[in-house]
Amino acid sequence: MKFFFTTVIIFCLCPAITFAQKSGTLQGRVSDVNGNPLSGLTLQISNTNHKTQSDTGGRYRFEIQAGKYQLICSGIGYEISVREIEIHPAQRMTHDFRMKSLDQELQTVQINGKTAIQEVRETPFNVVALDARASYNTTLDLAHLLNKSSGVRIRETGGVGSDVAISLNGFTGRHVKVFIDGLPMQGFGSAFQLNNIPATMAERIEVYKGVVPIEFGADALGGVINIVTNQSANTYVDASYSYGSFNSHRTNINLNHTTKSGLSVQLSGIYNFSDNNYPVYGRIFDLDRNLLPLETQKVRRFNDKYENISFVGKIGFVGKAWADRFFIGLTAGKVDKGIQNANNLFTVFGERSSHSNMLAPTLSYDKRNLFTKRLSVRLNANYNYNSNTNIDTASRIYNWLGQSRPNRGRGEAVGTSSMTEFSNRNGSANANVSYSLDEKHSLSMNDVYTHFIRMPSSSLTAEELDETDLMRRMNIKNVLGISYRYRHSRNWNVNLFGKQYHTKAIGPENISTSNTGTSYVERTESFPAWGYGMATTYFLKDMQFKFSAEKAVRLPTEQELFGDELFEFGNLSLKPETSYNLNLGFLMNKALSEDHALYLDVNTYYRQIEDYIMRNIEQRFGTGFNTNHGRARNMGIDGELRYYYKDKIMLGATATYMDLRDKEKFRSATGTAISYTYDGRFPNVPYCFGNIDAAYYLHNLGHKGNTLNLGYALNFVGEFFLKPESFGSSEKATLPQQVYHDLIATYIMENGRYNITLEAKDFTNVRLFDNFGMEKPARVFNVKVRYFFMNRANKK
Amino acid sequence: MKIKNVLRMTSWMLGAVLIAATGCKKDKSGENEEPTLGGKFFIAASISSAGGSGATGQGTTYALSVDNMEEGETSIIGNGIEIPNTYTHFAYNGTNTVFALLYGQGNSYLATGFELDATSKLKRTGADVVFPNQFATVGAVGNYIVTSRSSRTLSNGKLGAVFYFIDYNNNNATTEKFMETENFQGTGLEAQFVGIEDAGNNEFLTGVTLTNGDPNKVYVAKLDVNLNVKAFYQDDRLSYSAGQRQGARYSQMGNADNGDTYVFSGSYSAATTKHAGALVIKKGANGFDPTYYFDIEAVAGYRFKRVFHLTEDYFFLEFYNTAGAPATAGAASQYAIVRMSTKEFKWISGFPAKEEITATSWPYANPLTGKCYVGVTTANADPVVYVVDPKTFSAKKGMVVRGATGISGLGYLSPQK
Repeated sequence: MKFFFTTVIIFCLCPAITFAQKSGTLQGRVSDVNGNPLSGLTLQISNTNHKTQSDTGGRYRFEIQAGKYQLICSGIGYEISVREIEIHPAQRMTHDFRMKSLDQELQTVQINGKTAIQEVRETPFNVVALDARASYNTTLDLAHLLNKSSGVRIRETGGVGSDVAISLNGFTGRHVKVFIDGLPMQGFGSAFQLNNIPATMAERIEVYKGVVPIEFGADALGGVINIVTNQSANTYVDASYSYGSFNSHRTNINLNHTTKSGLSVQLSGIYNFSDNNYPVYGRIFDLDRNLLPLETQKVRRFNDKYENISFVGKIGFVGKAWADRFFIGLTAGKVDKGIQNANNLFTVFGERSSHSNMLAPTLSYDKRNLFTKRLSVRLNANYNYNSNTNIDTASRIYNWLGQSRPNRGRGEAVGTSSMTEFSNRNGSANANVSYSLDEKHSLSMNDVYTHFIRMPSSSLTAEELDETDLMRRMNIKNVLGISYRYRHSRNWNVNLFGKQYHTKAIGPENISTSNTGTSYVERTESFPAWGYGMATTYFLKDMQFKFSAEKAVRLPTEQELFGDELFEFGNLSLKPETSYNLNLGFLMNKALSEDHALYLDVNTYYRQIEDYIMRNIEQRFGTGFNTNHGRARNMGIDGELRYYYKDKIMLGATATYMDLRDKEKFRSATGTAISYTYDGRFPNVPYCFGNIDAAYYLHNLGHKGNTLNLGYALNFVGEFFLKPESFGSSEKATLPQQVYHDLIATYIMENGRYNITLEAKDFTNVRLFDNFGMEKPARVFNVKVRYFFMNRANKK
Repeated sequence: MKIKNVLRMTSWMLGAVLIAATGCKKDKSGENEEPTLGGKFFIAASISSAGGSGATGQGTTYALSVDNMEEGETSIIGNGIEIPNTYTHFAYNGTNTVFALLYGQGNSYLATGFELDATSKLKRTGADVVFPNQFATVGAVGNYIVTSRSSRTLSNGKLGAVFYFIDYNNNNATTEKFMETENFQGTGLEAQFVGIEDAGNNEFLTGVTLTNGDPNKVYVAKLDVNLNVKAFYQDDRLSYSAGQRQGARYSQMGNADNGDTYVFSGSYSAATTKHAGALVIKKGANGFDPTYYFDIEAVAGYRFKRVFHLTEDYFFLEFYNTAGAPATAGAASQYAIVRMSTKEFKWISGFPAKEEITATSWPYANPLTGKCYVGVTTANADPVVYVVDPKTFSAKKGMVVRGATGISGLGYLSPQK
């Protein structure tokens, strides 16, 4: 593999694509319609890496090779402006922009021009950037917005606020890491998560599949999701409320005010509530005879209320000499929810609930051109504290009909105590320094440090608790990344990087050799590991080609290292999991003519995972434990195709197909018995899915400046097996193919100031499932009203 | 009409678990009958995880039916009823129903029934039995399958035990009963029950462990199905009668075919000075037989973990691989057969070496033929059903189960009429 990588890197560095070095200068000034200079707006030259931002005086400057280009100026809150330019060798050309505010225009119809989204898409990494702004009038939370992306599936357990896990190129759980503005969200608790943050709080979501830039110091094999929150420095109000099926209410207010002196205050509030009393098919427990029939009946969920309130406040400065952006912030949140069932649908709870609070102070600092034009610095830090309480004190046993009978003791869940509390504390800090040596060479260094500590109070009865439940579990991780970027020309660049991972896990270890008692000591384990890779991209007219390769690692968790001292035994000799991955991407953004535009993005990948950490059970020891055992191979293709006709019609489709297979020949690490799942598909992983969507815009309907937007989506998930495909005959656990349709209509008034949306999700009422028969809400109706007002805050 | 029935409890453990009691005993009343035509053997084959590298979580059972377990092979590929659990205990309603019990490890505790329909096709019974307050040990008493779990906090705040009585003469309707166990029989200590052995007249014997009790004493209580304590026996020749691994408990009692109850002790406690051995409570007797004591540790050199009855007075014992008091997670994969009346002991011949065995199923004796079977899993091959001949202390290789990573239980079923 090493040889292979070396070959790949050499191959990619070699091609001597030469270009004429005759260049000219392009410069200008960006201002608003009144002539006030605008800073921080993005200027980009189409199909190149040339990109800059206007400075505090609104000025910009490029040195570019002679040729014909499109020059694009964009920024949040402003209409995009595009100029066709032709520059000759040694020519000095000036282009000034007078930017029109978008509160004069429709914000929802941004289909041309280069935005931050496209900048992300055009990096050499295998990345999908989702524009959250297009979904501001929907009731989507970030998780469901992600579900519209190619290569990504969310796996969920139920209705509003239900637990979600992201499956990225077939990897899920510990193999996919989620970041918010570049900082890990791990440990944030349930009050501020993908399943309750509304789309309006984000500007975009970046999905890095496989190879991950060093800025995310993550030991993730599957990839990284990065949520970029609204970075706008304008003054605006965005308030919305929606009401829908199953008594679901969603409220969200975002306020942003930036003074002329650069003082900026951002406030956001989220409130979500739902009864989640949607129908499911359940087996009705016979309370008199303790029997659970195999047949199911249609019932309504009755203990699944969800309530979430969160607040995000930030205060800081923008556009100062000492900082482009400096913010301190506080995120606070609270979740209260009923627990209706366990991980399957046959255990029903009538009164269990869970409650969680979180508090997270944050700090961010961003400065380009620090001391010198060549140095940029970015610092981020956050600290999360969350406390969780699970309440299970009812002395009753329930069935799906809501009937109950008294039971001994307190607690509906078998084997769990009636009230458990635990808290997590989690801190992370990220520092990034970039230095450009010259036009072609730049270096960047990134370090992410995370610190996690949990004082567990396990969900076990008193007789099953032991002294280790009072011992700390701690995990410290540091990921240092260094990357070098060589920009050969405007058409071709290459990125080489190395990552050093270091983890320290502290947890209890049983050193007793007898059975009379246990004797625990605190044990510390440290692991270093190395990863490296490269990414390159080449632009050809409207097309872009990408190639990236990486050796990535995932470090063992403290649970895998130390076990839970009950059913899981730790394995202190675990090695990190290793993934070798190759990605090849193609992107095209083509204006076919004045009226027609086409966007195509296709990615293919190959992954090989080694030393996969696998859970084993052996009866002779009577316990589960983890070993480095297992190989997996994944090949896949995912893509997105979009067509735009003027600002009237948009048609799009995403599709994902992957071939994730078990490549481990032996059943266990300790023997040579041949595995019959060798070369079989991984169970419980959807491998073929996609969606088709269409939107039609009727402009100036009813009144000038009003627009009616009609949307339709078809969603498809192919059948997949919950257990190994080849085993078993009848009553095999499968999730059938699911095809369902959504309709959405939004009426936008006064150029986006007032919006009313009607949604009908799964309007044919097809039953929807995930995981092991977990039934999700089928047909859902929502109505949403939204108010948006923006006022230009002209800095300086 | 009192249906003739044979109950055998089977127990198999996977994960961290525990077991209960009672073995494969022969159906006396059925000895002279011909095997029912159209009957099939039942195999609960399992895979230990969801399958696939890196897959985690609960294992899966593939319930198979075969005509013969003595030779040849079967497979779970494209075959078997798939159930997303691995069962830990087995119990039988004659050859009518196999009950596979799931010790939930915090999940659900339930029993799934398997039977043959009139065309000899294997199917699940119409309903599962649920044990909302869990179980830890299981046995057969009269026309009930009885499960029990101790150290439950009752609604009055006191510690107690919960029992479930599955009445298979009444469509498996199951009754839940509670019993206080603090200051048990005036000892001042809390009692925990492991093992359930039919003592006739709807009464049963159960091994008693007293919390913080004397590790140099063995206690057995006789209860009726209404949970009245009919008798309480103790003896100082053995330690308590229960195998253990953390929360798990393993039955160490068994009825011989003549109705005598053998009470074993594997001397799990490192605090005991008693050897691992066995006593007997003769059928109908009012206490331990003072003349019978079998010092098994003296002849074997090891202590044992699990005890299963095979046939007549032959028992199948699972020993720890290292001598002395067992370590909490000590490996136990040595197997011997003992004949209790004559105190004969022999390591079983024909089995794989102890280093190779990773798991065994509960031994099963077909009530219609008296033949005994046990599933054996090794690290280097597919699991195999061994045909055991207790009288020669030997076993031979029978049917291979392709694809499975273990065999949890076995049985024999006759078609429904």
